[in-house]
Amino acid sequence: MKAPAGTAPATTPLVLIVDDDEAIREALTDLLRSVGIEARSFGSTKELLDAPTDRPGCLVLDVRLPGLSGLDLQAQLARSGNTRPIIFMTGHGDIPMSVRAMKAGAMDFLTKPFRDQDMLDAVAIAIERDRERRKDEKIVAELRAVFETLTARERDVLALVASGLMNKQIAAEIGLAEITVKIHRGHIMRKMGAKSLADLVRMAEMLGVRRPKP
Amino acid sequence: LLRLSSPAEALGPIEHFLPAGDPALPAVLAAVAEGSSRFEGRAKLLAADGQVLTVLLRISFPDEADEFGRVVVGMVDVTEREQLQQTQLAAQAELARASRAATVGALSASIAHELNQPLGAVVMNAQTCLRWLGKDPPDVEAAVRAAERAVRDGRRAAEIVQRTRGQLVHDQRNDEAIDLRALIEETIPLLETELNAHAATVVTRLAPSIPPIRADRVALQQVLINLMTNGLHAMAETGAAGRELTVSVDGPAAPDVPEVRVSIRDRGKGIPDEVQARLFEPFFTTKRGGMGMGLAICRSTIETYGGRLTARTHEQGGAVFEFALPADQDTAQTS
Repeated sequence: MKAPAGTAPATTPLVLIVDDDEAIREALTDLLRSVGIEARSFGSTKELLDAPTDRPGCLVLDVRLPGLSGLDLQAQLARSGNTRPIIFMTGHGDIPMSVRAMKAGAMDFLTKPFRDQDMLDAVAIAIERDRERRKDEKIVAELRAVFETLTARERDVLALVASGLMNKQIAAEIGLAEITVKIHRGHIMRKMGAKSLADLVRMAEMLGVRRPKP
Repeated sequence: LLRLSSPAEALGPIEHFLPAGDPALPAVLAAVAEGSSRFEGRAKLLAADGQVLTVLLRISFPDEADEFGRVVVGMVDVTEREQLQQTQLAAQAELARASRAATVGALSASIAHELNQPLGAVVMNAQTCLRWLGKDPPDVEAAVRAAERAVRDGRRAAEIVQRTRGQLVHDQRNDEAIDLRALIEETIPLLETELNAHAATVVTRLAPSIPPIRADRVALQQVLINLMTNGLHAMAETGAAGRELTVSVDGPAAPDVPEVRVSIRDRGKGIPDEVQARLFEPFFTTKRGGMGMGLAICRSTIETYGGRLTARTHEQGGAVFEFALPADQDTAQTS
């Protein structure tokens, strides 16, 4: 029933736990296992940095950790663009700390000892959010790959289309015949796989394609 | 000195100058009764303007009884010196209390964190155990493993408590055979400034023959100091003449129980019922600015040496704190 670690498919969620207390690590790992969620635990944030990041999931961190603290790690991950959701655990209800963590984007802040259901709910929501995020990221990555195949002229035209100009205006803007702009637009629609103008504009937005500053 | 406007005011009965209830008057009379040639001591005097002065008093008594109409009295006003001393004492006491509070605060925060980890694990393991058992079919093997972890982590929590108590009570424990009567005689002088500040006296009633007990001298002395200081504080509103602490040491209550009993009785208001139940709880205090750790630590110290500490209100008023410690069998046999 349970796939052995390492061979789990890339879509199987993995929860990464960091707590300096081995008893907590064991207990939490087994709690997640009892509902069929695979977890791996680490004694310090340093060990965590070697953990696989290709699978969806979340981090469960103790606020107080040896070396880099949970909050420091949160800041470091955010700086390096790692947006994996984080659930914090604390040994004592430290309000200012939890406010800081939540403001920095933490999913949840649980005080030990917590209700098992609270932790499982938080983990389930975090995994779902991470899945969504990965789906969006995948779409953007694919779009970007296609965008890279556009010619320089086509990219210019796309930017102007996305900013709402009509063919005639675009033609005037970049000094082309209106018919040539139409042909470029056709190519762009086909290459990007856009079904409509609205679809194309949405894609340009996702890619962050903007009209070049005059 | 007495701020008199005219020499005539100085004439009159002694009650004009000695405030009622001052222990000096009976002490002077006792000296006269004993036939001493002079009296030396500290006394409170009422100045003509009503202010109370503290003076060092020296009275030379005449040899013949009929010459008592005139005695030579020497006085030095030490009021300011006394007030300064009292301010210093108060500051010292405040400092000691603040540092105790800081220590206990830091200690309890670290204990709370250290205990929370294994307790969190115990709870989580128990919850997980229930989840394994609640499955259809139940995964008994996994449930057993979770339950075993819960037991292990619960033991760890208990060890932390034990260890912490050990640190609190007998850090550098150094047990030896102790004659409690001697320890009490040594301890009372340490409280002299407190006794003076509260204008209180200590009366000891020591049984002639009691066995030694085995304990850490310093830890036990701390208990005595704590209980006696509490007694002094309890008598703050008692009339000056009645401020007496009675410290008694007795042998076993029953012949087959080899133990030594110590009781410290004050003449305060006794222990209200609602206080009695919580008296030994940590952080419970009736004193403004008190930590509520004194009696908790006292009881824990006495229990460490196999004894027990109890408190009650005396039939004739005042609180009695009593502890009993088992007699030291080794020393008793060898001596």
